[in-house]
Amino acid sequence: MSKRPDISRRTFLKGTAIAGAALAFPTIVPSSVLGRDGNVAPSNRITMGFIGVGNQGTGDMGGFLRDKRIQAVAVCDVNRLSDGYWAGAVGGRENAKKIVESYYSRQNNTGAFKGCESYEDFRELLARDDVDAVEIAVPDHWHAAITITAAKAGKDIYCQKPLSLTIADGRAMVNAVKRYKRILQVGSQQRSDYNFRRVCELVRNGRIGRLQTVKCGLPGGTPDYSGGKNVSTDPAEVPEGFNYEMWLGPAPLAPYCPARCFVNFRWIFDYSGGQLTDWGGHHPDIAQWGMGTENTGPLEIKNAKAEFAKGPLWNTATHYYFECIYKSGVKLIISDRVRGGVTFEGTDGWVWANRGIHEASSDEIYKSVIGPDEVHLYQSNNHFRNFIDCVISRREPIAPVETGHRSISLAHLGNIAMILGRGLKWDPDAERFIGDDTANSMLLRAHREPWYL
Amino acid sequence: MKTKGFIFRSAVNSVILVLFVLMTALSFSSAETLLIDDGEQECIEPLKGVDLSAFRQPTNRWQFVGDASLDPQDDRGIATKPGAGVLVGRGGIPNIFTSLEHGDVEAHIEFMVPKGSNSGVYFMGRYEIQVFDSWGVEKPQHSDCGGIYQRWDPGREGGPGFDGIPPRVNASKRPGEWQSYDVIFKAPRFDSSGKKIANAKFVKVVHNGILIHENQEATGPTRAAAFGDEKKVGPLMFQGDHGPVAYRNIRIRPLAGAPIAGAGYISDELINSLREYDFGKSRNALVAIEDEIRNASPARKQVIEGKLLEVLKSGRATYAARQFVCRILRQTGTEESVPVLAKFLTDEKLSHMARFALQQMPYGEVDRVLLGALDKAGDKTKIGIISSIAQRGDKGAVEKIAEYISSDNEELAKVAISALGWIGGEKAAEILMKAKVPSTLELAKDDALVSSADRMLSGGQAEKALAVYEKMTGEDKDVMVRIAAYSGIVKANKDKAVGMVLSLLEDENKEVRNAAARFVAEMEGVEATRTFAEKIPSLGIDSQVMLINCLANRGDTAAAIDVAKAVKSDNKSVRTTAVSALGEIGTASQVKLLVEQAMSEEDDMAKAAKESLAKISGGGVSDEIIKVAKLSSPDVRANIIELLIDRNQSSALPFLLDAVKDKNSNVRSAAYNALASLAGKEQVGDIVELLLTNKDSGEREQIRRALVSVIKRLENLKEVSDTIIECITKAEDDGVRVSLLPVLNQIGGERALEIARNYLASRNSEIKKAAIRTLSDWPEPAPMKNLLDIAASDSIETNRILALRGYIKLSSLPSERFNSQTVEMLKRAFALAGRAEEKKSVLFVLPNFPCKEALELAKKSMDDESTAAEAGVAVKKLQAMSLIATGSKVTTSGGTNVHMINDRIIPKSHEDGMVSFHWWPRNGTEEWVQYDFGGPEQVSTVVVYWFDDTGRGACRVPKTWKVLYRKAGRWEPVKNTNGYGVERDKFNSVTFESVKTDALRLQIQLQDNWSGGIHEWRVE
Repeated sequence: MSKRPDISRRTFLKGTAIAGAALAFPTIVPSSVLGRDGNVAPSNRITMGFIGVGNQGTGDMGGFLRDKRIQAVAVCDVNRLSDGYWAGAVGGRENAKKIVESYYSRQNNTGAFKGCESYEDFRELLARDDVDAVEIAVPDHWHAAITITAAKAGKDIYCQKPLSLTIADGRAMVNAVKRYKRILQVGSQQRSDYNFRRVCELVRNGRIGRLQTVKCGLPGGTPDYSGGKNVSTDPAEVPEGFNYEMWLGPAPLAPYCPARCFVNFRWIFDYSGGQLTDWGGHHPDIAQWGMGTENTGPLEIKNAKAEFAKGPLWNTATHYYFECIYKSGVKLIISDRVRGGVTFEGTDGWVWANRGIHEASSDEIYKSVIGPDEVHLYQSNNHFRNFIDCVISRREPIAPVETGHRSISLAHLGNIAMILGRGLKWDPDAERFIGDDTANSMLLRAHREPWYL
Repeated sequence: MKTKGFIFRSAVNSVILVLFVLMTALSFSSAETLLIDDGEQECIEPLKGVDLSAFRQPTNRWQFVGDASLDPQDDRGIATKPGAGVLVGRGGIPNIFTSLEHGDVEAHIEFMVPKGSNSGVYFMGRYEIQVFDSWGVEKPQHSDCGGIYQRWDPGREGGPGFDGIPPRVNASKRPGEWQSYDVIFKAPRFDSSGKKIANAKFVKVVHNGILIHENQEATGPTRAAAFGDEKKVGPLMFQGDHGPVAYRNIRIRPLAGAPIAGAGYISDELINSLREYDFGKSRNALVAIEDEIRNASPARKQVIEGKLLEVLKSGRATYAARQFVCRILRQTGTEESVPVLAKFLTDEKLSHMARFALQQMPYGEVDRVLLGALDKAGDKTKIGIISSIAQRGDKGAVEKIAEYISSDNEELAKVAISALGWIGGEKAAEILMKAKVPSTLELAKDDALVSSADRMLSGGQAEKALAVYEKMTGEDKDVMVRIAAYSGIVKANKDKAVGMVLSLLEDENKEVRNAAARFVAEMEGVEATRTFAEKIPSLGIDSQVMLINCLANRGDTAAAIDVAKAVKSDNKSVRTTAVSALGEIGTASQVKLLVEQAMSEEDDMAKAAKESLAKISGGGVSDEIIKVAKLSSPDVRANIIELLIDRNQSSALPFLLDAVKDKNSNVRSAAYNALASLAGKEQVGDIVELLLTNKDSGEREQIRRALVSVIKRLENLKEVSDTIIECITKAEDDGVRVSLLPVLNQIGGERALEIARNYLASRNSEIKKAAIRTLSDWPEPAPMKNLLDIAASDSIETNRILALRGYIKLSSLPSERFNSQTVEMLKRAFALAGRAEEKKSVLFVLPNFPCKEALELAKKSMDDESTAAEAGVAVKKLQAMSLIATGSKVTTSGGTNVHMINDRIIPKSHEDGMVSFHWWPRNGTEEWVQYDFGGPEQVSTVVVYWFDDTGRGACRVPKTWKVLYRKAGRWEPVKNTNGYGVERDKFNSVTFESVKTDALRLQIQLQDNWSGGIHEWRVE
């Protein structure tokens, strides 16, 4: 078992590029958009709006701000300003607006930058003609409606994972993005981590022999992410500055309580799918990459078992296990009870990856060199930059919408099988279960009026 | 022997036992022992399935087999045959429970016990009828087969056991024969306050056809009951922790009106709790219902559906309860629920939930009720209903929905328009085309028209769809509508669309040009590739860049020739984009061009070309690169050779072995570098040859470095060691020998060692020094003696110092020695050290070998001023350690990272991702770790920090563990422990009666289905 970071041998490229970024496909910005100092002139930057600026959205916004090719011009959140996000931190549109303005003030040395609008209603932001691209980092139940509206409005989209709440929502999102020819990057940033790409390349090039089993170890439980601030399940008065009706949107009617919103929405099926869908956009996404099944899915879900949260509000799976059987015969296991990360097991060995690390069953596999005429996977070393690269070049990003949809479909299929407590046969082309009307009825949830797809 | 069968008949008010005695000989196993079905309650047979899923999970080590009989080798064991229907426990395993929870019940149970074995059937998990090998017992006790086993209270006056009831007669058969119980059991009764008002009662117990109990009360749970309390329902339990036993033909039938839970049964109590459920309150009833539905057979699901529909209909249920029912009906609802749900479609608050349940149901009736609800619903509710109709794609609803297009309520009009698009088809398109809408809805209408055409297209009406698309691409249309329509056209008409896309690339609207770029990337066909590629020069600069990028994204090499032409563009962006694109879609024909560009004076260009050359692939590319290299000027050749490293192009090795003979030194240098990266064992001989023949000492160094790089990469050095050793011994040039000697320590082994030792006697001082250095870096401690000799007596001081440093280094290598032995060696080095530097090195490594001797040496050195500071640090470090553990030799039952058990490193918490010793992938096994102290020590405390990677991996704290010590070669448990902790993120300390021993062992039982490991184990 080897556990060392790889040392790049790309001596030829030394000094000509940021280490590791060298082989990513280059995007050459047309000279017309370059300012005199080589930076992109503000008037030629990609203008971005940020819809959903809680913990994830605000964090991502920081990542985008560092890219000098973009200009943040708008933020949007149904929450004006409050704490109770990740570990109790502060979030909301006023907070985000302040971050953008102080960032650009520092950049310009002007001390006062205005020019970032804040919105409560995403439709107002999307109606602006001068916004090129948006990040969508709202709870999952809002992903479909906002993404489709954004696509229709001609925006390119960085949509946080998990891409969808249901498989039908996901398919509608794919169709909209394809129909309006948008660039959409799913926020499954593990694709831009060398370690995951490396093990997928080893698998694709047969270094572990014939692939037999893939195991995705995800976390379990329903941990309180709010640092103890949003855990009460008793119906309560909606806090000032929080448009709860808008937050609820297409989800079933329910009275406000703190444990329902902000970061802990993940543990409620109405808005998300628990740890399984939170992480389902990551490790299973890598599994499909390594298997080469990114644009299809399994034929069968087997041995699905779960324990569901039993508290007064949270109801997603706390422990779970299911198997996805593919056409090739490969078995993909997704569970909180297997080794964390992604393990690929083949006839001649195994490889394993998690964030920032990978291992192999032998030194030979670990050090194995991928030759010039073998499979080289799409290389991205920064998920945000790759999105902006593609917004400019109009190329396919590293985590495109169809791929993201297929990845998160695995988690949805698992949740359906575990809720129903039975195995299921799946037709990945038609995206329907075979001979199971009940399971098929769970592919979609009616959106609450006045929202619809 | 007689065989008897009997039947229980249960009537509404009474239970009559009718006993049939059938006179036959031999076996009882096929006896007709029936429970009569009165049509009200179904008979449950938990062993009827294909597995043990009718039992509470996990079922641990209980086996499900086809048959069980006495083991012919051992009459105390059970032999089995594969199959289904028989439950077997081998003894010493957890008890097993049915998922069904019963109250008043009739049960038929068959069992088989081997000789001397013991089990039991516990009604409600609490009241036991004993299962025991009581064959031949004349006066049966409560503890004999058929007995109602006694209760237990350790503080009770007159003895702890009480209220056991022996069977009237001993009806037992021989061990190994199948026997039966037929039981009528009544659960205890409680008043409304929950106080027990009647005991549990065995109304009848029949053993092998003979009545052994009648109307006997069980005053409370039996001694080994699973639950100490008494309840209205409980699971049937079979005892597994005593001896081997087999059960089959288990039939359970609740008595009429009796409560029942589990396995798809939902009690009225649960339904009542559901009715009262509200947001924020306990969801226990809801969770229980969800669980039961998961476990229920289709027939039971229908029963549950009926009960839930009653909740929905009744006025007494809360909104939250009804919402819950709608969610459940979404996954279990049959046609029965359609009319009930339909009533709520017009209810403003519940309409969404009614649609939640109805929308995906496959029944035609749903279409009818949705349509029927439209007129009666309010505007906002209508929006939802129309969206559901659209999702169902109900073509029959088109005309009705069309009525709402002209609604004054704009949102309603909009959803109607969108729905017509979604449902699509000719008729919807026709309606939409004719519809007059206000200007604010024009965009929605056009978009819906494109959607309706999409449906026509997927329905096979391409021509009609195209007609709509064409209309929607007009200049007056919104740009996104146009793009959607173009998408449709591309889909409908792949060939002709190429021409359209070409013109879109020049569209004046940037969004349209962007869309065209996506078409270029996605449309299929080699012809299309060529047509798009030919277009490059005729476009504006930005469009050229975009087109080239998307041709690269397209991945078709057919575009390579035209993209290559763009490399000559006057515009820098176009040039560099084209060069980059060739890295993806270039062929052998573009290699030369890329090489030229790689030498460009424009930095961006050269960089892009080099990146492209590093990744360009496909037939003949690699060969072509070498061909170009050969034909190029030396400077270019050197550059290309460097590039081969980035390509990992091992096919270039023959070329590289030529290139090392190149006249140009840059080329040779590059070739040595490339060999260092790419060569394998096959090239070692060639490289050695180079080393022997090259006269230039600078180049020899480069060659030597390349050789060492290659050797380091090799899995097996044996295959090349002869070549290298031959080279060292044969070399005419001492310089080569000096440069190659250090390779010997990469090779290792006896022969290499011998040669290196021989050169210690060389008269050439450089060779001798090289030999000392080589041995100082030896991977094993073998040359320590030689080094010590030199350190002690060589005439040259430099040699003495080098050798002493080597000696210290080698004594610090990981070894099987006890730490005290290593410290003995270090002491010798310390004594020989003439300078403070070497003494300091000894003190520096000393804490790596913690033991009493190390501490002594460090303490002693504190008196010497020149080493006092370093000695102080060593003393401090050593004093902080558990010297017994760190001085021990560690062995284990297996696992990874054994050295980490006493490496003194612990994590901040289980979340910090620190690696540890672990047994993964073993799960649930019994494991051990052992410390050999190397001599007797007095010990009384063991402290363990368990490895637990919850959230990342499969390791958890163990289930149980204990400490053993070695006494006269045998392992004995330590005595009087204060408890074995299994908490994570901390040291678990256990103290015990002090023992003098030379070894301790931890015996560890991992949790079922989990692995485990140890961060640190200390002994005091």
